[in-house]
Amino acid sequence: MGALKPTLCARCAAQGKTCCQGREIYLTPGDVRRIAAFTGESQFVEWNQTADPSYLDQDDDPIWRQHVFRRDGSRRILRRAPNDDCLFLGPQGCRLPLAVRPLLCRLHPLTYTADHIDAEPDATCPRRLLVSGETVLSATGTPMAQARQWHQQLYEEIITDAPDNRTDLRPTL
Amino acid sequence: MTETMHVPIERTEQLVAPPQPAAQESDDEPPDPSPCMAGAPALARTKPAGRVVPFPAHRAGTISPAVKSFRKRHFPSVPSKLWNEWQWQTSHRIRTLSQLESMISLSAEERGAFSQSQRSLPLGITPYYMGLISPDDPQQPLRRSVIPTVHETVHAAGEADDPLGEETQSPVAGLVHRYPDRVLLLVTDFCSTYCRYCTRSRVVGRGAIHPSRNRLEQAFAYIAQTPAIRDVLISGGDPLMIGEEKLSWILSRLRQIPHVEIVRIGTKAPAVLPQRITPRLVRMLRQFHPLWMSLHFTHPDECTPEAYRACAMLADAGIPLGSQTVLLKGINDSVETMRRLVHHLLKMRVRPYYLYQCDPISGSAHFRAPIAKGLEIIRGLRGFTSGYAVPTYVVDAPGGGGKIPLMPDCVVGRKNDALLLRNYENGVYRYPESCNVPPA
Repeated sequence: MGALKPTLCARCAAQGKTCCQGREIYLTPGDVRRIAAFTGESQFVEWNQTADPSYLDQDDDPIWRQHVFRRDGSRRILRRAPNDDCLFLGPQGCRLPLAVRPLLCRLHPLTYTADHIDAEPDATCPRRLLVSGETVLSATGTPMAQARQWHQQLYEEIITDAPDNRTDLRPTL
Repeated sequence: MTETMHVPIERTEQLVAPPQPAAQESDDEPPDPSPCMAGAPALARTKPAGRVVPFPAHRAGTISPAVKSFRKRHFPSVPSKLWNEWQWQTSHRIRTLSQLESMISLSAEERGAFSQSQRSLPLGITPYYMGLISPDDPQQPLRRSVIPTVHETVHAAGEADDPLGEETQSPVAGLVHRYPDRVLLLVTDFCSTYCRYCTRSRVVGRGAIHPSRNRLEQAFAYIAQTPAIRDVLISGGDPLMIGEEKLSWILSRLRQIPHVEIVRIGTKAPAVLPQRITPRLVRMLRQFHPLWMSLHFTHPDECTPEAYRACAMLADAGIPLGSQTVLLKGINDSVETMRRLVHHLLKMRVRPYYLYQCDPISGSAHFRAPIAKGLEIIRGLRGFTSGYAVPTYVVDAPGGGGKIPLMPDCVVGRKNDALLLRNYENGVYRYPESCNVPPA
């Protein structure tokens, strides 16, 4: 992935597609502000309904369910280039410095809900590339304390998304 | 959707349906009053005099003064519409040390809880419940029940993460089958507010229980294949933190299983997030009768106008309500506090159902009152107040033995052919209990 996560991410990138390719990354309003300020661009956002129905099922995380999705099931994501790569993917990984990078990308491959971070990271992260003694976290170089801080920031920013995005306010039943 | 929380009285009055004319009574209605009732007032037909009492009356309810001033101080720009939305309350839970510090002055014991690298149970308090907490008294009962202290990290002898042995009685992930005819279905591990004495602190707020359709389908399959199960208790976490769509799917799936006679939901929402009880939720729930609810009230200070309103809406929907209260040292371990609590509960149409001896969960020693205290409370209630107000005092037996009721000793002994019984005033009475039935 990025320059600050060289080891496992570099090994992964050498093998083929990475998490920077073909993925839909939700952006918080804070992500949008930071990226726009850094790049001077504003065309990196789109609203998109996920093709994966299981992603719409966020009942384990009421905060995500309430704030990330609009009533039509779409959410704000990072646009991709025609070849499906992230717009900000350069030859050396992410072109955005860590402090500007979307919080979801910074937290990858951790999985989490509003109240906790899972002990096991995302299953798509290639464990087969780990050398003995390494864990996914140690090999991507993310200290847990830092991850907790990003996790907290992520949820603080998620709830600044407009209240009328909430799916639960849909006039059904 | 939650506009009923702040509908002005004038508007509510406009919603009042005119009294139904007698001619529209259905055939099920009793016939005209018999002659013996001739002198009685015709209850159904009185014209309301003057100001109409709106139905449901609770919609015009007031709000708790403590919550009101808290909101004014810490969320001055938040309009009532947002404040009264359960989604807003959930999203704006107090989650961090710095938020707490901006609202209350922390004691050394409370601050100590945050110096531990990893607390086992997350911090989460709805802004509404935070409004009921004393900013300067660390011993205030509601404050002690939700603000962590350093005592949580002390593991006393006899404590365990899973003292009730739920893990060993779980045939499918998140399904506990302890008693033959009923199961406990854990649907989510999320709570709007985390009680520090949580009996399930090993799982809640840790991502251990996802309400995923796959897992729940497995639970439904187990229940469907086990005809002995006639009662399903949905708990968690707080099941009401799940959206209406998923919750209604769960309830309908359970209702499709013919041998499931009743469904119960265990929730603390009316106490910590009364905003969750919306007309929309209640409309959905009442489609799945017979549906019962176990609520969780701990202290009379939780019985606010908001909580009254929430319980009234549930009761009006025909849902029988019970409260499961945990006996907690320094929080509700006195006859006087418990009496006030159970009297509030009856007024809220909530039957005090169980008084639990606090489970020996790891890090809960500072909350556990002695059994003698629980018995003293039952002695102080039984006979002194309505029988409906007296909960059953139980110990949930460590090791998975289930609930065992504890009663003050009322049988004094036996004299001749009579049983000697002690009444609530400490008088001893004889009950003739002859074993020799006289020949016919």
